[in-house]
Amino acid sequence: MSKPAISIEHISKAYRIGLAQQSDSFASTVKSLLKKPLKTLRKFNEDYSSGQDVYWALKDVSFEVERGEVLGLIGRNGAGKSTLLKVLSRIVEPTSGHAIMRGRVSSLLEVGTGFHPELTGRENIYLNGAILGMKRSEIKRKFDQIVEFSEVGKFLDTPVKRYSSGMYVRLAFSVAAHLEPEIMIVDEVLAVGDAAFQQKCLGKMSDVMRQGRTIIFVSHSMDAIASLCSSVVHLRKGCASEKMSVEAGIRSYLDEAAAGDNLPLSQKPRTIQIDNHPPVFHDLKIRGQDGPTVMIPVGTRVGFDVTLRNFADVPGHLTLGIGLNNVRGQRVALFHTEYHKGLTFRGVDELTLHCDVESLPLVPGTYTIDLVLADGYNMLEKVERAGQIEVVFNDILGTGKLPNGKQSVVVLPCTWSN
Amino acid sequence: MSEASMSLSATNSPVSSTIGTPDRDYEETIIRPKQGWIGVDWRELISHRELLLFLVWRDVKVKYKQAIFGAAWAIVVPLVSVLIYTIIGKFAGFANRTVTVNGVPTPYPVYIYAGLLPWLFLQTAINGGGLSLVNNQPLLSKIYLPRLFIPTAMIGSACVDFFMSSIVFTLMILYYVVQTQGTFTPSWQIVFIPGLIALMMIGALGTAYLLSALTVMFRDLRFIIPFITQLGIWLTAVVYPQTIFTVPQKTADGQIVRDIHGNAVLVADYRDWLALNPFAGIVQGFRSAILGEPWQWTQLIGSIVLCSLLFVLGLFYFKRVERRFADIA
Repeated sequence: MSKPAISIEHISKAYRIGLAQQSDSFASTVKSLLKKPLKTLRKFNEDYSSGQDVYWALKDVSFEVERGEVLGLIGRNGAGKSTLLKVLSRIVEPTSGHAIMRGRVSSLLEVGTGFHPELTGRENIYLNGAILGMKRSEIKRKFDQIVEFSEVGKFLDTPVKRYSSGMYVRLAFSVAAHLEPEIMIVDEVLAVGDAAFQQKCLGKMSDVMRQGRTIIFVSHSMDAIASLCSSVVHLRKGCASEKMSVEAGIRSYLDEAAAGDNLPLSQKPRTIQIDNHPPVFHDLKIRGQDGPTVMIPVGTRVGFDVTLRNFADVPGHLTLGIGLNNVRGQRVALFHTEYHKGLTFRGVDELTLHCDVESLPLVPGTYTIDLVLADGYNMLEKVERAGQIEVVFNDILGTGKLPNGKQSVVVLPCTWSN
Repeated sequence: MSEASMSLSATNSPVSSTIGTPDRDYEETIIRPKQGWIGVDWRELISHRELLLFLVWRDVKVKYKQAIFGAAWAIVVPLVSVLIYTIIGKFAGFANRTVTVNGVPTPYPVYIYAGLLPWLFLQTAINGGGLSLVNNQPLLSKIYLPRLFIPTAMIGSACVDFFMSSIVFTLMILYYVVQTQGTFTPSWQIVFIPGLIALMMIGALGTAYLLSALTVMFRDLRFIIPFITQLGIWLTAVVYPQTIFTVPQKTADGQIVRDIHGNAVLVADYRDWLALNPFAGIVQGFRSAILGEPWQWTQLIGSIVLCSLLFVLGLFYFKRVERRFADIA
């Protein structure tokens, strides 16, 4: 039985809140040094983990990653994902607990760390490679591959400050993609470049994974997590879940996301709202084929129940639209009272509208829901991300395969012949 | 108790062999909170030495890349400084108070350059070294690398300037040897220059470690450091002869009494107080070695002691606060 590649045991990380975390002011230190020399000097050595104005970014996090495992780390903003990666990368020190990394570690928290705008592409490849931990001979050997992958060959001797941001990112990622560590720590760096390059990066990542590298991977894209990872840990306010299957992890993440932005629909921020009027959208409920859920198998029934309140004083013939957006922010469906039923309605005190979709033929992925209340052509109230659903795999084509979100937007059955 | 290093090349074998070979020895990196004073991981520094060279190369390259004159500035800056301080010296009357060696007065530009040569290097260490960490924030907060390399690289790039400046100085000395038809020559004591350069490096590294770490902790130093160097050039007696800290014997009609070598006879000598300045002994040492002035032993010993202290203190303070850099920067 081999030892796990990464063992994390009871890692916690505290930050002092507010001013104290910034560098101390020179004046105040000098003053206190003069007033109470001994106490101030002792403060320099003090472990600041106790006390009230302390924020625990990580609380007692423990898990292990086996060799060759690709672990997805998911969680909402501020859950501690980046802090954990920084601790494992040795950039910041844990406040307590310890971790053991068995193998050569490379971390990629940002593409192009150490890139200097005045230096040329060629020079930056060498510099960045060295910073990421490559030997000169290693960079030399892979130089052509890196250039080819980055597609910036023509501009190799141009200072990178003249690069477009796309070229910059492509070059930076290419260097990183040619690292050969045994353990790799990757923050959400795949969310860079245009779609075609992203695809290429994902391809490169899966190549890397096939070579048996151990990887910890942070992403907000459930799509990337689902296609790359073999297991998932869900971080919530600094606490880590058990290691879970990818499916269970994504469900847990979406449940959290659904439970909050933690705000009920009536208090969510409005993109558009009626001047001097309380919000009208009150509640949104999502039904699947077997009752309330956010997990909708491809090609099955979904229903939306939208409750509106306190709009008796809103004049005009009103309409309601429910829009679905995919992870790339692309609107993929619109269910609209007027288009689908020729229906308009008048303002009342409370009204619940039910929208039933017989079959939702979207490719698997996360979809956010926008709600729009309109009067003819004027939008009166709009809530973006009023809710979200996760369309999950369902073998509707009978082949065990489906197009993914990079290949298609919808899944349409068809017949082939020759 | 381990501060394991990240890449010991010994274990760097092909990755494909890692699958299903449970008993292979992987290097272990243990991440845990460190307490108290932290030692320097020399093995790690050595295994990452290529990175240091890359960082030096970057600093040198970037410094002169955009300038139209490019690397010529490494030569122009000391030459113009020498010109300015020579003119100031002539007007202020410093120029005729230099120590006369074997009855031959040192050409004043050579005298000034001998002091500016080490000083310009030390000035880069104080200015550039002090700001090196705050100016390279992404290298602190986005990646792990031996952070001692960042101020060290700044000193490394200053070495390149020092080297170029030395060549210019050599040419200047040759010019004056020819111009004075050999009455002025550099001293045989120039053989002690390598020792002085070593001392200068130790002082510069210590200063850069201390100031760079302090600047991360106390940003106010960004504004204070430029004053340190502006004052330093005067406090270190770089651009005037140290003899102004002496009181020469004068005759009744105000003439300075001179010995047979042409040097003033002194009634009081306060030069030893300069030993409190860690760099004074280095700057004066360069003059003694190159121009053959008498060694100022108190100052030299002062520099050796203070620079060594500075180095040890700087190194340990740096290691002490290094673990908090990413939290603060």
